[in-house]
Amino acid sequence: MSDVSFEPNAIVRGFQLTIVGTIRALRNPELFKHEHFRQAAIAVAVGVVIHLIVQIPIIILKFALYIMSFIVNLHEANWDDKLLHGLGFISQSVLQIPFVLMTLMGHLTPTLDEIFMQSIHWVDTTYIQKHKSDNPDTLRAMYYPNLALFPTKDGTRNSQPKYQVIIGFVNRYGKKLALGLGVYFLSTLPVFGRFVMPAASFYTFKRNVGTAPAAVIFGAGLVLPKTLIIRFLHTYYASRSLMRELLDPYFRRIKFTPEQKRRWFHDREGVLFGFAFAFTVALKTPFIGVLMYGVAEASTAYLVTKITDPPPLLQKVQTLRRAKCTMALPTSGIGSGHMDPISEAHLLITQLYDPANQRNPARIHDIQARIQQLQKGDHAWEIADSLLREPSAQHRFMGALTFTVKINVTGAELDEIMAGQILERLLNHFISLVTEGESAMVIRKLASSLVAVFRNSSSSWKRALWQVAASLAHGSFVTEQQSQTVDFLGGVLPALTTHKATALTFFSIALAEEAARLETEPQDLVASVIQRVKENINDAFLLVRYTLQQIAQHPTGSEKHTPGQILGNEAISSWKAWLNIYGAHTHSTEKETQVLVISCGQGIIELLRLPSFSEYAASILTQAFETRSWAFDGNSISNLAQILSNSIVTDRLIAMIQGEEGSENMTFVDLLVAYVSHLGFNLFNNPMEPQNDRLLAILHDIFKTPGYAAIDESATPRVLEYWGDIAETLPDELQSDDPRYPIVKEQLAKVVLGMFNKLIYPTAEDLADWTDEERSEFNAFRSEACDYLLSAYPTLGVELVSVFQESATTNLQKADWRSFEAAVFCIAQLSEAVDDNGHADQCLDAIFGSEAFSRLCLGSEIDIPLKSRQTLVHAFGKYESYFERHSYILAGVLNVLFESINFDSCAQSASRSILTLSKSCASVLTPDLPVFLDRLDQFRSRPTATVSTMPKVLEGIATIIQKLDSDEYKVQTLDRILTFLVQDAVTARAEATASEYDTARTHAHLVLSCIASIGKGLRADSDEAIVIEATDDRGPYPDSFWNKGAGSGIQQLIMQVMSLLIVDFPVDSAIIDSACDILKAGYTESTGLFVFPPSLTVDFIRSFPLGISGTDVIMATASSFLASHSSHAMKIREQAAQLIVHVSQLFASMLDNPELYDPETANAGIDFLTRLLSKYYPILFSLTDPFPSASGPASRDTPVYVLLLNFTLYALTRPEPLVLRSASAFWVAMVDLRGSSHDETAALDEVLQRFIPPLCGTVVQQIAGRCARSDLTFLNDVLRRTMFKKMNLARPSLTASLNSLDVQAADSKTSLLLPQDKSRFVESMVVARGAKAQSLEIVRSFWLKCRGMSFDYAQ
Amino acid sequence: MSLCLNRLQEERKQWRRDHPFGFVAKPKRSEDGSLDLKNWQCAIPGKKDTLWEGGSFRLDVIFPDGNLYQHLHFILDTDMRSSYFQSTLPSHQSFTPPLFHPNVYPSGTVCLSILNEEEAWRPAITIRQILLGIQDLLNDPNPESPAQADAYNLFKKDKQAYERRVRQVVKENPPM
Repeated sequence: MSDVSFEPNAIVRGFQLTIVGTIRALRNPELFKHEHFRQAAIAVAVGVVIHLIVQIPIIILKFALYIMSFIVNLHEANWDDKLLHGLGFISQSVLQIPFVLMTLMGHLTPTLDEIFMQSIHWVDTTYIQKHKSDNPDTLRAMYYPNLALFPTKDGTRNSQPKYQVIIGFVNRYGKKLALGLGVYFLSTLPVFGRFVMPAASFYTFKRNVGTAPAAVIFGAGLVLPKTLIIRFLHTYYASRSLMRELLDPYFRRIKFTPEQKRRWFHDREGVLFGFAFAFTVALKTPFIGVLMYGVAEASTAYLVTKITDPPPLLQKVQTLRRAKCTMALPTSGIGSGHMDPISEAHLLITQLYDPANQRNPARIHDIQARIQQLQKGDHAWEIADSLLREPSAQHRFMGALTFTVKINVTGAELDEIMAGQILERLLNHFISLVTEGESAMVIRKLASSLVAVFRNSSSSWKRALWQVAASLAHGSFVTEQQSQTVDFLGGVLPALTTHKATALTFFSIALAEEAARLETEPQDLVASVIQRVKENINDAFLLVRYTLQQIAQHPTGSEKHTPGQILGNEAISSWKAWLNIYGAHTHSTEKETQVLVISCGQGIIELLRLPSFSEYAASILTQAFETRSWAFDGNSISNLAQILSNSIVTDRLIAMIQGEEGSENMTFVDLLVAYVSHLGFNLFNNPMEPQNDRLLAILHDIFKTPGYAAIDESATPRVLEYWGDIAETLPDELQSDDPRYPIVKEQLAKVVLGMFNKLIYPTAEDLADWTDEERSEFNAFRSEACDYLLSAYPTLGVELVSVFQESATTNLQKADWRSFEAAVFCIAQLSEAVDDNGHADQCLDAIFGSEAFSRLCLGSEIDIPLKSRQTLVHAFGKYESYFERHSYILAGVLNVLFESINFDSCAQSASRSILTLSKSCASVLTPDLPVFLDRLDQFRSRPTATVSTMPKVLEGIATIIQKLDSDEYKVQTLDRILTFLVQDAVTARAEATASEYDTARTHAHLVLSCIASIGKGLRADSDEAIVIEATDDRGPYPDSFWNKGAGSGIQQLIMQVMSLLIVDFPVDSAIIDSACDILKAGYTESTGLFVFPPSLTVDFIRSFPLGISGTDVIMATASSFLASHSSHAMKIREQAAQLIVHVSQLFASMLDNPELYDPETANAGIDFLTRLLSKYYPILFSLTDPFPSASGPASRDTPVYVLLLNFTLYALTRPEPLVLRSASAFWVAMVDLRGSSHDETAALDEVLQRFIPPLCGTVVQQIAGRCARSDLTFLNDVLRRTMFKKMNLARPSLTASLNSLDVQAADSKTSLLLPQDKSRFVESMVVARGAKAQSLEIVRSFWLKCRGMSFDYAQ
Repeated sequence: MSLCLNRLQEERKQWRRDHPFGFVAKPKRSEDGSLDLKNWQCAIPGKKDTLWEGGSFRLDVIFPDGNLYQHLHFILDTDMRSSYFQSTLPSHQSFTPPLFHPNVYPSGTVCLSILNEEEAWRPAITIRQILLGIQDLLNDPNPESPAQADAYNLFKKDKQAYERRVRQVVKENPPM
């Protein structure tokens, strides 16, 4: 900055900055959204009020003068004018109320500060934008990011409450005001007065701006009128103080000493004056002036960027600041020039917890990163020490953490002596903090720091608990040897206060938990630590037992969070933590500890009686029962039984069962279940112990808990789970002559009865309140409950079914549908056990044979609720075998099912049951066919008649039709069905014509899949073996009733539908699927409705263009078609050739036009070829002419079969896995082919001779690292089969292909393959003799070699 | 052998205790009602907010003798009966259609990397993890290892048709 500060140029420059700064600031769109302007508006309002208040005395005075003017002649005197003028002047210029208010506001709320920072950010942004094109290195540094990093408040300010801020402000302002008024009044003194003003200004000016300008002002003061000077001086001071206030946000961040600050201002006096002058004037504008304050603050941001350098990084400033007062600090470690790490750590932690930073994750992250750096650095020990002495708990917490971090980082470098020293230091901290009543948070952290010392490999600390306890008792550090001079149990523990004992328990738990963590680490590293931990096991349990005894002797009240209660709960946790260590490491030989462990367990069981501990004790005991049952002996078990059956625990359980508000407490249910599970079948000893009898009663009563299971209460599922286990293990555990067996059986039966009410489905009203999740939750509970039934069935037998049968029957009679539904639900679930074997048939007869049930089947007058209907339909589906055996009921059942397909929620399962039942009992059902057809007519126009229901229903009906004796009757019924399907097809066609493609497609799909299902249903029985005659000379389409006789009409109908919905129809893959199913339906038949002329299939297949989605299914149909005629292959020679030529045309298009390449067609076409090879290869290889329209380079002059084979070779190089796989399979089939005659063999050999060399070439290219790893299996199949089957052809080809192969490493020109690698490869393949695993290994290592070894999984 | 059964018994216990919601996994019952631990009946719900939501897909998990988890076969037994011919030769026995999914083999075996010994299989994998893995696979097929051409081709070529088919599969496999 310039040396000359208060000179015109500088002032002008300052004024310039005002203008530019204001313009900049006003362009910032964010500015006026600011909170500040709301406050400013308030200030204006306040200003107006205050202005009025000030005006009132003046007005009164004026009025008084006016009154006086009647009495005194004021025209003569001019004192009155002066007085009035003076008052006005004071009120306007000196008091400047709104301005003062805004200044004060700036001290109280951070809005101005925010405006400043926001504007700095804005200035930075515009700066970058303006200098976009410049070299980024030459741009100035940014202000905002650096300034934002600085804390806004220093320590002293931080602690100042608001009222103090206000007082300070008033003081300062008052002084100024007094000074101003004083000077003003002095200046009114006669004679002397005229020098006061200039002298005062000279004095202040001299200090601030230097002698020369001050002298000028002084001189001017003598000459010019007083008011002018006052105005000037006032403006000068106001601008100075305004400047200070405006720059306050800056100085809050950049900390200067007063001296530095004074110098800073001095250097920039002129510019600052120039800058502030304009604003001072603007601010004086009554009222709105205040609004300018915000603009001024924003412009200051601009000013700052012009008159300062960007602030340096935080640490640097602090170093700069401190450099003068402190000695240079050792700057080893992280960089140089930082502030001393200890103060920095303190500061950082203060900032870390500063609420101002909480919403700034980036900042927090930076702070944490730096703290971690410090915690790992060289000064960590000192930092930790000093933090632990801080008054704030957060600092102390971080101090403890720093110890832990540093100990862990130092790791093995920590030697034994140092470890000892650290331990002493830590322990002393620990003791003094515990004595001072430190919070649990810090104590726990310190305890884990102690554990960190313990687990350090160089530590030799053994009886840690003893030493810590002794030191706590002693009040300061005691060595390990010294500590052992006092008995742990008898001497040390009694000397501890509750607080100290709690701290010791914290340490004990931390030690055990650390040891448990160590279990998962490599044992060679941590075994010695675990060994040392084990030395403490006994002490730990002694501490637990001692604590429990103390509690038992001095039971605390039921209030929570007393020191005694905290200690008690910690003792329980400690027991659990040490059980893990003891369980994992100690053998039963150590009887003494075992006794101790058990007695601790007993102590905890006793705690169940105390309300303040019972819940926590129960949860820990439950866990211990499940995994550490050795922690209990007979005594503890019977104590527990006593407490469970007769104590507050019992009361809690009973309260829960009675549904008392807020009493639901799963902890005790869990404990009860853990207890009975622990006893196993001994619970049912005969005679039963009285308390167990009582507990069993409670267990059964739990089913009476009000509310829906799994939704309102979770005790029922828990108890049921227990009974499930019992039921499941009973057959393995107890012989049926065991005295306990009948007792268990009785209990299991009792459970069935007890849980039944829990299975009843919620009422519609209750259900309406449930979420979807709750519904499925309840459904899941029901299925799990039924799992219990299945587990109990082997024990309870058919009786179990009869329980539900009785319930179903009575409830059906009573029309209690909800209970009926639950009973049927259970029966349905039990089908798994009884449907096939017929064990429960009698029992089922009682329901399904009942009169009530037949009434139900007749339908119409009984309105079954939907849920019951759904369950019933489901049950029918489950009892297929039963109904097959009881076909007399079947008609009624089907009646219900046909009725149910009209309901959305039942349609799916009803249609499925219709299908399965009619399939299995078709011949019985033929008399009912007319009824079913009527039902079908009602159904087909319903919204539930969809592609997932209707085809099933139709297939079921078709299976019944198939059983009709007379073909004529078949034709009649089928005609009835097909006629409406044709109508639907016509509708679909019309929709398509009307461009309603989506509905058209949906309809078409439905119609076609219905027809396909009819085809499926009409097929001859699967039981009847199909006799495929070895020599079939009937031809592909023998005349029959269905194509020449009376049935030909309906075959025509089907073909009509096909052409309606395929030809020129917007087909999609679903339609193609169904159409193919129609075609395929007849392939297994020799005669029938669905045996179509071969041309239908061929024309269908040939009608689809290349690339259509569904090609796969179409080609598979082509394969099935050929397969179905394979017994008379030569009779459909023409059709086969047509299909092959069709495929070759597709392939030719793809070879000629790479953009048309379609993986699906490639894959499906090759699959088709592979499948036809075995029976139709003579036809394939007889196609030695190009296909008629061949014109592309790939097809012109190329025999069809050559074209096809060329394509398969091309497919082997494709990246698509399926294409490569099918091409591989094709070639495997090719080399496996054997001609059935000499001529054929010769022809085949000729083909192979031509193709094996290119085949080997292609495969070698691929396995030389080009293909994907997963492709290797398939390519290997080709290679090994070729080598094995056609060795004499393949070997030379392979060698030749390898020789022409040059594989180079990606990064160098060196060849990865040596000639001997190649020859070894051929030799190994020969030796492998086509063995799969062996050759795959060879191929894989070859591939790896070519790829470079980095692809090996092992690496 | 018995190690295997113990492990499965333990799995059964764990599962009864706690299992992911909507999933079913239980050993089948043999004639006499006892459990056949080597033959599990499972159901996987479609994940929420996916195409598969609302469906529950039943499958069998078979643990062959001796080799626990060595060759798991997932016979997805679904009610999709539309594509009932898989083999070229007409036969009546192979009508169990596979689940419509790019990574389910026509035989019903699932192609899942954690089930593949060579890839990510570990003996510690539990039934729970397997089922959750398959659930993930449902909506997130691995196009790198196609198992059935039908679903794979549609998935690659015609997403709309693929989604329609999936929706139908979901509709036909409601949770019990």
